[in-house]
Order: sequence, then C-alpha cells, then structure tokens
Amino acid sequence: MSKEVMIVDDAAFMRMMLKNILADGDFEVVAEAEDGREAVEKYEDLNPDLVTMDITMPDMDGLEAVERILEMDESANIIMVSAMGQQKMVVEAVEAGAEDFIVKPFEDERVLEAVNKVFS
Amino acid sequence: MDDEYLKMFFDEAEEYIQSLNENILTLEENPDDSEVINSIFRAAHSLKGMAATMGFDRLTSLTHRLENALDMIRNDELMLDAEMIDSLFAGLDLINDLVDDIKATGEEKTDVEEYVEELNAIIETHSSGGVSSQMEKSDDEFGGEKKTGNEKELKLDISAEDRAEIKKQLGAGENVLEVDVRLAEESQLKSVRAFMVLKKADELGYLVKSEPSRYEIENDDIEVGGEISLLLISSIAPEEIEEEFCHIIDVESAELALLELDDGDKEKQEDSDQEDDDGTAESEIEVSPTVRVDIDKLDNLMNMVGEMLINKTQLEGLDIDDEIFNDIIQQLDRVTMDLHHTVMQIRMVPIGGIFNRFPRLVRDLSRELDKEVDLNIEGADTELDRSIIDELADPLVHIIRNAVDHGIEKARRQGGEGQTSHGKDRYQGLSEGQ
Repeated sequence: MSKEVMIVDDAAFMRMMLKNILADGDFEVVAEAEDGREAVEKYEDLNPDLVTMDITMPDMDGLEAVERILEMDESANIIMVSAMGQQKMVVEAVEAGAEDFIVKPFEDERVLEAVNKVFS
Repeated sequence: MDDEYLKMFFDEAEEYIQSLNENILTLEENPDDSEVINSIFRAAHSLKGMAATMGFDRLTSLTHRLENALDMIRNDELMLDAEMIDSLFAGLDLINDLVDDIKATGEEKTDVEEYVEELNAIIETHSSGGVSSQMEKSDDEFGGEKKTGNEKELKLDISAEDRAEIKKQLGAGENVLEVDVRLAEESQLKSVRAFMVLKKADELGYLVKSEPSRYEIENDDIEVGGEISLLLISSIAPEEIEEEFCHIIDVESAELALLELDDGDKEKQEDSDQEDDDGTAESEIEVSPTVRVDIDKLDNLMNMVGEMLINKTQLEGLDIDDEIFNDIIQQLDRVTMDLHHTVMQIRMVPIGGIFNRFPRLVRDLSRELDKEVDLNIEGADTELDRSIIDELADPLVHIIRNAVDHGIEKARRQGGEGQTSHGKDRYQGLSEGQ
C-alpha cells in the first residue's frame, strides 16, 4: 500500500509540483493545506504517514505547526520544505522533531530521496 | 506539460528577471554590497532550479554558467567592471529571450552557446588568481585555527581541555575517533545538514567537539563548507558509525580515524572561538503577497457593484417611514459606497511597475551613446487604473529614449578639473489632482 502524504505550502505552484513528484514516486497525496492551522486540523483528521511542511506561511507558520502536530502524535514524520536562507528555522524544526528537510527549488530525486529515507 | 505549471513558471521567472535587472544595476553602483550579490546569486540559482524542474535545458545551462560567474564574484575572484556587468546583463537578456521563446512557441529557440563562450572568455580575463584567493578565504572561515599539518593529518586540534574532557567521558570499550564528514557539493543549506550530522553524532556517542563548532553551526554564524570534523567518543564499531553518517542525505563520505591519546602529550592549543562575522543571513527574494486576477473578473465585479448601487437608490426612493428600514438603508448606503471605492482601488496599480524597466533602459542607452545619465524616479507609488498604465508604458519609453538621445550631451572632460557632465533625467509620476 502506498504511503499517505499531506502537503503543506501556501503556494499552489509548490503544492502542485510536490504532488506530482510524490505521485511519480508512488506516494498518495491525501491532503493539502495552505497554512499551519489547516495542516494541524487535517493531520488530526487524516493522520497521514508523512507531512511536507513549508516554513513561511500565513496563519501559523511551519515551525509552530510541527510542534502542534508532534504534540498530537510524537511519531509523526515531517519533512521541512525550506527556501534558501532559512537555515535557522530549519534547524529549529529539526530540533523540534522534524525528520529531514528539502530545499526549494525541488529536484525530483532529492525530494524522493528524503521522503524514502524517512520510511527506510 | 501542464499549462498551469507553465503559467506559474512564467510569472515567477518574470519576477526573478526583474529583480535580477534591478539588483545588477545596484551592484554596478555598489560593487561591494555582498547582500546584493547574494540576492543576485539566489535569483539566478532559483531560476536555474525552476528551469531544470521544467526541463528547459538551455535555460538551465545558461543560468548555471551565470550562477558560477556570480559565485566567483561573490568570492572576490572576478573583477567587477563595466564589461563584466555588460556581460551579466547580456546573459540576463538571453534568459529573457529564452523565456519569451518558451512563451511563444513552447520551445527554446535562442542560441546560448556563443554567449557562454564569451562569458568564459570574460571570466578568463577578469579572474584574479581564483584558487589562491579561495584558499585564503577558507582559512579565514575556519577562524585561523588551521595548523600546519603534523599530528597524523588530523583536521582537529585537540586542546588540553579537550583531553581532559575525553578522559572524563571515556568509558570502557569506547573509542575516541575523529570523523571527517564530507558533504556533497550540491548539498543545500549546508549548515542545517551539518546540524543533522551533529545530531547523528549525539545519537552515536559523546561529541567532544566539532569543527565548525556546534555554536557556529546552530547560529549559522559561518558559512559551513563541505566538511565537518567531529571528535567523537563512541562504543559503536567504526564501520557502523561510518554507515550511519553516510545514511544522512547529502553526506558523501565519512572518514574515520581512531585516536590514541597518551597523557604525556602536553600540547597546548587554545581553542580559538573566533567567528567569522560574514553574516550569512540570507533573505528570500521579496515577492509581495498578491493574487493575480483576470481583469475581466474585476470588470464583472465592477458591473455588479453598479447594479447594486442602482438597487440601493431605488430602495431609498421608496416612501417608507420606518425606523428600522431607514437604519438598514443607511448601512446599505455605507457598505455599497465602500464596496464601490474598494473595487475602484483594486483596479488601481502603482505606476512603479512600468518604471522598473527604465533604469536598465537608461543604463544601456548611456553606455551605447557614451552619455552619463542619472535617472531619478519619483512618485513610483502613484496609483492609476490598470488599463491606463498599460497604455502609458510605450510612450514613456519613447520619451526617455528621446531625452537621453537628444537632451543630454556626450560625456566629455571639462577644463582641467576632470569633471564629467552628468545629465539628470527626471520623471515624476503624477496622479489626479497632483
């Protein structure tokens, strides 16, 4: 059974991009969220196997969402999606318990590498 | 290829091209502004990433070359003069052409080979002994802690304090190891990756110290290079440690060396905590949070608001003497007026959008015609209806061309003072009533 993923990003372009990459990698994108708040709500409902989490978003940023999700489910798998220049925030997210990170712009293999590693 | 993808690609590419144009101009004026160089580099980098994602090979290879050149500029390995700037602009124009090609035909038509060769030639003539300066730089980055290589080619200096700490922490069956982790060159956000290496080290054993230090890595104080050296105490078999580190994404290799520390060694090496305040604080390219809306939809909205206004007036005309009714009418009046005003506002765009291309235009003209021109733009935030702005762009370009062409004299030395003539072109955005 393919793994279920939720994509969190405020930019539709990025969500679409990730969705296609993940679909090609045989993952099932079960939810998309535009901001942290929506992500936390949807995580509670759907309990996906993996979350890709953008950092800069309106209405609850990725960091806070990571913390909230891990409070609910400490075994949650979260990969941060970062732009260049957000080192500090990625470090904080990893400290908070995010598994790994990928950097925009995406390269398919790197995304899949990171995602697959989480499940290996 | 999905159309929606393409549309977003174009929108974003245009934003990057615009920001590159502006930033290269700024760079020409402030060649030492590292923040500008960084943002130019990032924009080129992001463009490359996008182009690669979309499979536009020429655009990818072109932006890749430019990115390399920019990286050299960033590292002070390339002399930045007008010729270099011209070349950057020429590259940017090619990027623009390629994007236009793709927009028009879906294929890349413009040839980039010739430019790439020119760029290479320019890099050749402008490069300032690249390798050695890079070496110097990396020395600086490591806070002057480099030592001339005795000590079994270890990369870490082990101070008396480190030894004391090792002695205290070392248990039975544990080894002291130096682990040199090398990150892949294309690895992104190296400092975060380095942080994950430290995290892994914590899991595997006791981390005595690292170079760069944990403090530097966590605070992003230095630009982490490709290598992280760790001094680790662990009971886990070295092969397993190596495997664990290599399992981290972007870790290319992890070399282990077992250390034997005899107490007789009284080497005193102060652990210098010099930090490079290079300020790697990078900011994203600023893109204001906006939505693009089809102008037809706005017209539609406008029409509906018009209808509503008529309805409201009809209601007002009814001869009903009722307090609640009058209250509601009053409120309706306020809301519809606000709505009308807001819709009008939405259609207004700052005229600055079409000014964006002027600095580049003037620069090119002044180089071409050998005239020195300062362009001063005021009132770029003046708002006008969208349709008017679109119509204004071409005439303004014409005016500026003429002004530079006919209104300003060629640069020439005046008297013995070495003064040059500087023309000032002034364009002010005006709005109703101004």
